[in-house]
Amino acid sequence: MIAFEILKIAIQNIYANKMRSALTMLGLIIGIQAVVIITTLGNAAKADMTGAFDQYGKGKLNINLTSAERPVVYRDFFSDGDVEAIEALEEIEAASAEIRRNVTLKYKNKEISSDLYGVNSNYDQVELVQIIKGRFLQESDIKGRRNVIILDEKSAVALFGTTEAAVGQVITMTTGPQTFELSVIGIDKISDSTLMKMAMGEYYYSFIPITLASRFYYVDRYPRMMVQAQEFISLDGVTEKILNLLERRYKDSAMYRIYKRETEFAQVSQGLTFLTATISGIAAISLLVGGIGIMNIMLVSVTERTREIGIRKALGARPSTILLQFLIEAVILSVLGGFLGLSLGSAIGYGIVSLLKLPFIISIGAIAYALIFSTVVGVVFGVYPAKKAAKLDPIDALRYE
Amino acid sequence: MIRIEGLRKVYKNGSIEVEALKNINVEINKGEFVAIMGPSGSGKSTFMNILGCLDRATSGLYILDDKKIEDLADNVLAEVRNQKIGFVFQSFNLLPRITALKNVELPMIYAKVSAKDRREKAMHALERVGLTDRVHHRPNELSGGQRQRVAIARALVNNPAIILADEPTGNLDSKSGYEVMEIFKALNKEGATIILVTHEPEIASQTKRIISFRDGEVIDDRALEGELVEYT
Repeated sequence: MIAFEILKIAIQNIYANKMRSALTMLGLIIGIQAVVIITTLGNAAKADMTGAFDQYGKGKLNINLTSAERPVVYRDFFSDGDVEAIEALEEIEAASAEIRRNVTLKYKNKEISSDLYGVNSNYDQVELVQIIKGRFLQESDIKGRRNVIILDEKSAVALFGTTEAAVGQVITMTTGPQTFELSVIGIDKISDSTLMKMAMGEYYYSFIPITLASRFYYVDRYPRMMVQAQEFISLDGVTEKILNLLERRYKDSAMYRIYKRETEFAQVSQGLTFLTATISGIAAISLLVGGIGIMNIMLVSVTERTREIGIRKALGARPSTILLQFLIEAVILSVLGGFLGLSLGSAIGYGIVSLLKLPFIISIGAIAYALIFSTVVGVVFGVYPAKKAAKLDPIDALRYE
Repeated sequence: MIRIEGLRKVYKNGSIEVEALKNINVEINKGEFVAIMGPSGSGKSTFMNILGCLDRATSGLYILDDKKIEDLADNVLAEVRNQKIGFVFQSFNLLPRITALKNVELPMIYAKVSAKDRREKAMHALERVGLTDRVHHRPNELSGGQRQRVAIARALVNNPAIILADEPTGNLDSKSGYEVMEIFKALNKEGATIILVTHEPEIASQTKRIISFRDGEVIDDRALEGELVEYT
């Protein structure tokens, strides 16, 4: 009950010095706000990434060649037979090889540099392909080695102005000394993820039948294969099976490196977490400054209210009661500052995140962190002034003018 | 009620020791109305502070209401101040931001009295000093005399064993001073023990006993029977 009375006194004192209290809290408000904004952005980025991963990262493996032990030779590359054998494994839903070359695509006077992927019709099972106009490659395109191409959304806009205008048009592809005419049959949507879009920047890509690419480049073996394993299966086991299979097919399994998308995402996500934590840590320094501000004002307040402290002591306030009164005042200031910082930070964070079209995530952890941290700041920086008040000699305090 | 034996108070100022009180022996009984007189530096304020448990004696015995005060811890001392002693100061020492009523309630907050009882008792105390119409005014809206009456109400609200008044009329005009003294007299008649520090003979003469201090010693301790005694 006495605690309630003390709380009332503390609130009255804060209210009586509105301007000063507000300025005192400002340091903490800014500090907490900065931390909250940064964590909000960090969380949003992570959620965006996770969203992207869920869309086309689960159970996916890339099999690449590596020249760790000896230089890669042509026979290490994957043949159609290798791809088929891997696809035949029971844990594998789809396997698809790719040939990648950089080419120039031209339509009338417009020209872009595009990463051209020679792929199979099952490529959309191992990579995320979202056709928004037209269609993707079909078995018949592969078998018939048709001169067709699928552009990404941005390429279509760059060459034709709109995605609608692109389908059905014929464009010119130049690679080295060769030039071919290809008709556009479909448009692929680029990622939903804002970060992915940002990362891709001016990157253009396109797909053609793998058989056509083989012909262009005089190859029948491929340097890279993508695999979609069944979801919920241990990818480590699958990795081993694939390597064993390659071994059985007279390949040197030491020449292959299998990457799990999961691991890559986890690494990026970890990096992002670390980055967020580091910047938050730097922002947290401003909390220290805020805390010092609170201590400063509390010291001024103790000096100003020396006489009041003397009166209260003469009337029977214990030193511990006086200590509590000033400590509570400091804690109220800091917690209120923390709460305001949290609200403002969340609002600003929400604004930025929605501007970037990233998901907004209210993290209970961040709220708890802000409130706990601000309480701790209040206690840590309030204790010294409160102790000073509690220790005042009542006679001196009563005489203080 | 109050027994003081061989009380000494020594202040250390660097290497110089100042003996503010030398071997004080005083006994004050319940219901007495005592004036403590003496020029400044005579030790009367020091004595008052020790009586009020705001300060501790260097040596000697101080028994208040059967309690040996020097043995008590700071927290208990705060409780003694709260329960046994009511202070009235020359400069009133009211909290400026709260109303008269809240000021009177203050000691009861530290005595952990419930809000309802506090209000009731505070109103009653203010009634005893004749201030029922100004209870919701802040100190700066009250005259000096009224402020001192609020302070008296605050001093008596916890039913203390003694009321200690340090120059209670010092900051008041003579009319207000007279009123304040009338309140003290009435309280004393009702049984309150009052100890009043003053250097004004006409104030001291309104009490029933004068203890005079000089150079840290009691030089005179006499009972009054109504007649005016010239202070020398």
